[in-house]
Amino acid sequence: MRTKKIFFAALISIAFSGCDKIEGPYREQVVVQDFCATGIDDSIPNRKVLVEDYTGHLCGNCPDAGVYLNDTLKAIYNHCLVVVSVHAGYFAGTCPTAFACPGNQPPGAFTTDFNTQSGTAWNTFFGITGNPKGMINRVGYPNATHSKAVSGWATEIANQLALPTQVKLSITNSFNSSTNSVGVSVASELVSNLSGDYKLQVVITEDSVLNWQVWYNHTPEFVPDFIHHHVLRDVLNTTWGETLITGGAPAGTAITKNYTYTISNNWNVNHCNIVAFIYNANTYEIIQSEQMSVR
Amino acid sequence: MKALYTLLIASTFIFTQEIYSQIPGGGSIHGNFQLDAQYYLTDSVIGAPVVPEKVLSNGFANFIYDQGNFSAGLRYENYTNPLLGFDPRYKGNGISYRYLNYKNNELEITAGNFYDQFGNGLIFRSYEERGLGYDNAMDGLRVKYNPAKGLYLKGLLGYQRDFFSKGEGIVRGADAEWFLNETLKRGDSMTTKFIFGASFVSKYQSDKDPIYILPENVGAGSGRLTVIHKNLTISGEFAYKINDPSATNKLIYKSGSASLLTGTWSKKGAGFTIAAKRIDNLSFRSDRTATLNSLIINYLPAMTKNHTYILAALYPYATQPNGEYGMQGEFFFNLKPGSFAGGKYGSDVSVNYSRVQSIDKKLTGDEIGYTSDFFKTGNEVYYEDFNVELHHKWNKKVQSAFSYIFINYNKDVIEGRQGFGHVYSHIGIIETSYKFDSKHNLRVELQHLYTKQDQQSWGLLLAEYTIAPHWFLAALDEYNYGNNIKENRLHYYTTSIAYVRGSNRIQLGYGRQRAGIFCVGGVCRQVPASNGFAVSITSSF
Repeated sequence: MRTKKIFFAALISIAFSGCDKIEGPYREQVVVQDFCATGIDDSIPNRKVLVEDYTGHLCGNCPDAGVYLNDTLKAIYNHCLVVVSVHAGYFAGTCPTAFACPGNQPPGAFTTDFNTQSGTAWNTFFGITGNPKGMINRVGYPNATHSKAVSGWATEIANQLALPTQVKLSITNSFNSSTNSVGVSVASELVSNLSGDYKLQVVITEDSVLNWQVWYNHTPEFVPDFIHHHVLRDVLNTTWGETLITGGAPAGTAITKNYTYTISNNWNVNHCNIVAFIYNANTYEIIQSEQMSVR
Repeated sequence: MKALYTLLIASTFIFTQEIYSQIPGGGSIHGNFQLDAQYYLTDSVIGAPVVPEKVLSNGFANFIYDQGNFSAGLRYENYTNPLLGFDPRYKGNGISYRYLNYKNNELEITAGNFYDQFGNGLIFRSYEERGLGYDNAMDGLRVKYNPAKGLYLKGLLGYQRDFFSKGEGIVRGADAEWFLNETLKRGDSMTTKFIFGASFVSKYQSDKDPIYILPENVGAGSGRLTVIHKNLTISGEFAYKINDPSATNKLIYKSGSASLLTGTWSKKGAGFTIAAKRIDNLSFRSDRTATLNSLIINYLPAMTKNHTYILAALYPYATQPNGEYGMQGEFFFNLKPGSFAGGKYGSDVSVNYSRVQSIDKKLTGDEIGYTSDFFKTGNEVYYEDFNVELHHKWNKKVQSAFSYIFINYNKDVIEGRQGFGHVYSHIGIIETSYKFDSKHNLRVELQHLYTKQDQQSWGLLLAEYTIAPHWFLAALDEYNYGNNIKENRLHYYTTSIAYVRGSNRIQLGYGRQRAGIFCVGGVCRQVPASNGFAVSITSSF
């Protein structure tokens, strides 16, 4: 009899274990949290968060994700967010041969190839399935939670921004217009002791690229002059970057890396940015990121 | 090629091992083993992705130990790396499933992993479908209790499997089922039988979203009734879920529901099944940000025929959890042996029709998303399938099956895309098997799919030769001869040979796999094109 009572009590407690009915308002009072614009303490800059937006010009749901990222999240976190849009995978193929081609696209549409060797390698390595998907500081790898749907981006950004800064990262660019090349100097300085192995990745992105995009929630659906933001163009120091710290290092350790990169004539140099980030070589989790315009 | 040879040698070694199942001192151990591996070749013509590893494989081994009222088990899984088409997040290996179980007449307790289902699964179903790479096993505690005759109670809580980790949401649930006739003294002799059921499931996931106020506890409840009267069975279930904004429903706060009604009747030589369902915003996951086949708590049946013929399965249906109306009817009967229509050995005929379409939705323009009139359907057809099958035995050696299938496939909705519209396909299939003697059998399938849309028409020829009890050979050519793009008129050919001994089976194959969608019960995965050698080994002990 006692067993029955315990069991029924357990079932009833499960049944009433909670329903949070939200009657409205449905949105939080949004507070702009652009700590990174001015810096609360210049000696210890805020941690910035890297959002890798995996997308493709044939992905009809991706523009909504891009709008959410650039208009909603950027409006809240502004300089604290560093964004790289990686065009890779099924929806990043070029028409007319790509399997994701709608078939009824206008002639000449979706022929520009935004894929990069490194972006494709990341897409494969991180197992990005379906678009749009994003990684927030690559948190969650390899436990399968790193590849996040749009609805999971804001929470993880908030989580990451709440963490203490471990590294100060700064980029200095010097553009040479005669050679169309940029000299890049990436300086890192540890704010706290670090253990483990860390790598530095430096990439170049181009913003405001006008080109075709499938956009389901838009008329026309095939947009000829869609503004592609933060497009990953190339990497400056190989697909997986280069070793910055091996076996840990104490606070105060400063390392500077220098690069020279010739910019393609097909890109608008005024829209190009150098993005640098430092990540744990074993977990791939990014601990700091920074962005600086080429000129 | 070296990797392939290694794989073949390894498989041969495994195949020849004797597995002992008796444990000295009592108890027994049993289980099974499966390895599917493929060596991928480059084939840009069919759009096969390049596989840097060359060889990919999915493997698992189950070990179950039983002794008296106690049992324990574990499953080791190995994806190094996952076969193309399986979610790459499976990459890795390890013990993904382990449990301890104790059971007596009244009580059953499980600690660790378990699969279970409440009713039809509308608010809770934990299961594994290996062909889809689908596994939402629970990891926690489950108690089943039988306090009185005819009354069955279940309570469970835990986390869900998410590849080689667990989802962050907690799932709690309870289910009660009452088989009235077992409780009543003379219930067994009653011509009408009643089974009542009720379930409740709640999930918890913290809310740290800076923009939305999200419900951390989301509850869903359901009630069900099955009435069995002689040859007739009628069953219904209704489920309701409170606001659950998620990635699937694009963060709307509308409540969700599902209704399911089925009726079956049969007698010797004839029968029918009819079913109807309505789903309204009932995606239920333990992580509101999860997508694809991850962390799904419930199961929404497809209610369309799961075709097994290859071309008939080219355009399968995937359940739309955000809303759909569906109905299916099937009538089958037997043409008696000796009759004019049935011939000497008789024939079996089945006629099936299913249709799925949108529900009525009036957009509200706010976070609720939309309102919907329960009894009103929307205007958009998602899927329609009419098919007729005739099985006929000509004589002692030859039998045939003839099928005609019409499928109206809304590619935009089912594949989550736009601009492709509907694919209307007509499929005809003739299958014939010839039994040479008690050991040798030949089976041939001739299939044709006609459509003006998508990749246009296909033809298929399959031949299987069985030499009982050990050998099986098959050859298949699937030809997209009608493709409007001449370069895409491709042959997808496959050959395979299998050897069976006892409970062990090894199969070697080579061929091209076309890109497509593979579905089981409305749950689907996309399969990319591939070309290569495949090895499959299964064994049970």
